[in-house]
Amino acid sequence: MNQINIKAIFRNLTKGKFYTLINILGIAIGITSIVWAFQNYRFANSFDNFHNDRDQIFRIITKNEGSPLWNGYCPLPIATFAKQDFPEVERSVRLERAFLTIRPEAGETFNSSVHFTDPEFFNFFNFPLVSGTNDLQDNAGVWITESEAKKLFGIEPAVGKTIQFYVNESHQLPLVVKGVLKDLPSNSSIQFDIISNFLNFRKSNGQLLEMDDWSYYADAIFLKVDNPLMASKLAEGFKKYLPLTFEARKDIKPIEFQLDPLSGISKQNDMATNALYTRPSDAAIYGPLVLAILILLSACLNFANTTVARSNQRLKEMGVRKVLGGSKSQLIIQQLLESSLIVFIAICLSTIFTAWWLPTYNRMFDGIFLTANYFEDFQLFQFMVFLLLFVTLLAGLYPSLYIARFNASQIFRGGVNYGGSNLFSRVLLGMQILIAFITVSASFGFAKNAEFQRDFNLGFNQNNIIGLWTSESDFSTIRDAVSAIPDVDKTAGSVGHLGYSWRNLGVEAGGIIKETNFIQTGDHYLDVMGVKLLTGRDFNHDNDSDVNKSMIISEKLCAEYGWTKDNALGKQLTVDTILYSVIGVTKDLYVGGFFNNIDPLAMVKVANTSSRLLIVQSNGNSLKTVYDQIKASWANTFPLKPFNGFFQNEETSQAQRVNQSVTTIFFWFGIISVLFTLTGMFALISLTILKKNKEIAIRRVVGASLKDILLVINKSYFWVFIVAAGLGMYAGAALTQVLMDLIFKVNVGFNPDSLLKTFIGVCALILTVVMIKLWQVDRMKPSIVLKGN
Amino acid sequence: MIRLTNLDKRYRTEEVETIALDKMNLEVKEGEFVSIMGPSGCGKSSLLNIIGLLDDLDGGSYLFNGIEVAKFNERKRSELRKHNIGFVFQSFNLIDELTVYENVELPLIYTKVNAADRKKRVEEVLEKMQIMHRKNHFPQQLSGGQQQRVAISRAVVNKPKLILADEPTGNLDSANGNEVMQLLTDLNEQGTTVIMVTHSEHDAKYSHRIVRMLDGKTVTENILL
Repeated sequence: MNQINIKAIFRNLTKGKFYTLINILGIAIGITSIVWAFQNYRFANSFDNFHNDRDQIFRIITKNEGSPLWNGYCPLPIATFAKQDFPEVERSVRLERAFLTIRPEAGETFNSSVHFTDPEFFNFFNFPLVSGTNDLQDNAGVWITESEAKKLFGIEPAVGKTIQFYVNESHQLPLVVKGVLKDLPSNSSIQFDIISNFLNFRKSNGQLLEMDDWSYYADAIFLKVDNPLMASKLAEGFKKYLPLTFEARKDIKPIEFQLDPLSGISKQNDMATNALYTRPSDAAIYGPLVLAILILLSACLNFANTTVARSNQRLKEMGVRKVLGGSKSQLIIQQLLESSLIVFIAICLSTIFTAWWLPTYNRMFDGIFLTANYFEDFQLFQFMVFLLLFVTLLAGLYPSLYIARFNASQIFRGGVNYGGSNLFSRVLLGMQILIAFITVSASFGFAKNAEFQRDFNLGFNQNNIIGLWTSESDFSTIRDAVSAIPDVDKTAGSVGHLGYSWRNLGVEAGGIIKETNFIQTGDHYLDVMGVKLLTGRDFNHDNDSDVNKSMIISEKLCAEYGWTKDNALGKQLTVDTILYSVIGVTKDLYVGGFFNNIDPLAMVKVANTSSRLLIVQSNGNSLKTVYDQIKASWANTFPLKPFNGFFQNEETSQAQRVNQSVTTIFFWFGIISVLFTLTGMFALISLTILKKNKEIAIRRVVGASLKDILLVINKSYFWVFIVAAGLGMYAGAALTQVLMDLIFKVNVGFNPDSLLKTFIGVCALILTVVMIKLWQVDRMKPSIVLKGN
Repeated sequence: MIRLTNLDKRYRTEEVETIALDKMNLEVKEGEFVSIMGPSGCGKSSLLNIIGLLDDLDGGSYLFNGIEVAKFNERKRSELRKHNIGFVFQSFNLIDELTVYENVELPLIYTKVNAADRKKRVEEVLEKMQIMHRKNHFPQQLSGGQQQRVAISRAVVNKPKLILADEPTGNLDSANGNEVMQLLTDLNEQGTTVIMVTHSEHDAKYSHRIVRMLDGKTVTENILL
């Protein structure tokens, strides 16, 4: 390309500053979107890919009788026995997760996520060391991440320092920091702050685990196998351990094992229990992809449309170039280079947008960490080069072919009347309108869902409850202290908790085991949590007569056994070896909030002395004030122990945050796509007016009203709008429903309200553009137009 | 140099067919200065477009330097055109986004002349046309006469054998018109063949021969020398 042509390209771009700016901005936004979606997709698909032996590593997962879902846990002894009994198993590693209260030497106490594992751990997984050694054989040692080291020891070197484990227990254990690990990547399904040898793990009673305890289920057991193809055969072979597990424990009855490859662990979003982290849901992976493609497409369509619409201004240039010997291909290349320059500038601008957008997006959702390091990440760099070529062709090829196709004599003879709108440009505009409708309707749809979920009754109290995790020994002390706070209306005790802590256990009746959510509650729990009984009675709180005897079940568990709420009373159910009688039936409760289906639920009562969770109900004005008072009370009572309080509605707040984030994303993309549509429409109508200005002037001379002129200008766009709006609303409704179902098990679904708002909103904006153009036409003097013609 | 035999050209719309050239015959020898005259719509510009290989013909033969070019494809036409033919238009047709210098340089770029030669030849021709002092100006900053001198500079910079001028003085006052006609005459005297379409009897007098057309045919030919 010659310098002159490059200059001409620049001058052409600066000549139509407004459209150039709009196109650069539009494509920059489109590219920002696609880079976001691309990085998000890569992030989701890169989980655990940094482990060198990932193809040989498998996690043993189990399926229990009465449930179709898999569990991430596994009987503890299988780790040892599998290695002995099956030569294909090269090595095994157990992983147990615990949230412990720890204290660094001469420091305050913290709650930390601590993992316990076997010495082979660092031979399985590649978590790089920053300082110290990584010999996990040393059971007097502990390994911490860089962030944890900074939290516990500040800027001082952590290696050699002591950390006290089990601070509030009788079995305190001082361990020495032997190594500092680089912070674990966000795309790791194993996440911990601190890790130590399995020998340092203590059960709640302070005892060591017996390695052949078949009643104990480790959070995860990993195997390294010689031949990955043998995985299914091995899993089948492990069935020989089933009798041992069932004999050791009656409330969990595994019926099947499976070896889950490390590369697939992060994709296990629908397990019954899973101590490892999973990647974002499919909705969070494919939703952005669909959205980004729509936005980029819309930006490219806008570019193509405005370029073709403005091509009238380039007629003479194209004609002259042809006369002087420029071939069609040269003109096409020149046009494409012009497009590529716009795309290149847009890419540069998109790096600024991306630098803002990715951190903003990361803040919207937990566990997502997207970055864009163009020069360090070669794949991203390649993608940017690909985008430059692809977007140039997508946006620029059609205008290039269109502009270069006319021959010079036609142009100079004045026989060419191009620019403005043709069928193709109207189709492009239609697609833009369609995209605008999709994004705007999705935005309204998720806003509606937020409203629905905010008012939705999960079956228990949300907005007047504060929870406080404590220990059995501290429970009564803190309950008494908190009860003295004037704004505290009621208190209850518990072990498990609706929305936060429950177990999946097999509940047996008449020889049939059903996997059930199982919650151990304390005094006054149902009353304080506002759980209504459909029939029967609450647990007896004056004494422990219901402990290990009585059970309150949900309607769904009744239905599972074919009972009605009335004939369920008195029925007997067994959990492990304990026989319970049903004393009450509740409505179904949304134990897992909006993200989970309603599962069968069984609640039992524990002894007064067993509660380790304090539930506080306050109906005063400011729950936050009460929370602060409880926190102060805790600090007075236990000055050396960390405070673990929470608001009950934090769980539903998470759903609200997701709703808010998705709504915000669609809202902004909706605005952008509507702006694209309006710009495209403005350009096309402007050119239609230019093309028809003589006709319009003559019509006005002979008495046409503005309404008549409105029809002349817009009749070719009317049907485009109607068809695109119809398709867009349908596609928007379908997309919104699919995304909602992928994110929330409980959602409002798509509703006509959102469609109506979308239609009215987009129509109003488009009508505004049309009226502006009509106003401009009204100001044109027919005499001047006709004289010009 | 040019021999057109039984040339036909028709323009078709959906319902109407207009005959622009009807069995037209014309011969132009190398070094000639020929004016083509006739009323509007008689086919003058169509003839010029066909001679300049800007348009297809529907029938007949077109020999350019003894080679039949009627069936040439777009690539061959473009090749022949850029090396042999220069165009001057009534409305100048300069590219507004390029300076005077760049407008004149453009044909040399298409014929792949190297940068040093381009500079030399552009400056030579701008000097000759006395427009060098305006070389960094854009077309809109020039008077009509100056623009046409730039257009002629652009037409001759590649040293074409043939210049096709379509009413070159149509948008100029008489003083500038005479100046342009003198430039074309000078070029012709230096050996360039010139074919000019004009409505002006005054301008036609600069040529060697006037071909008068009506309804797509030659009606008379007047030799002025």
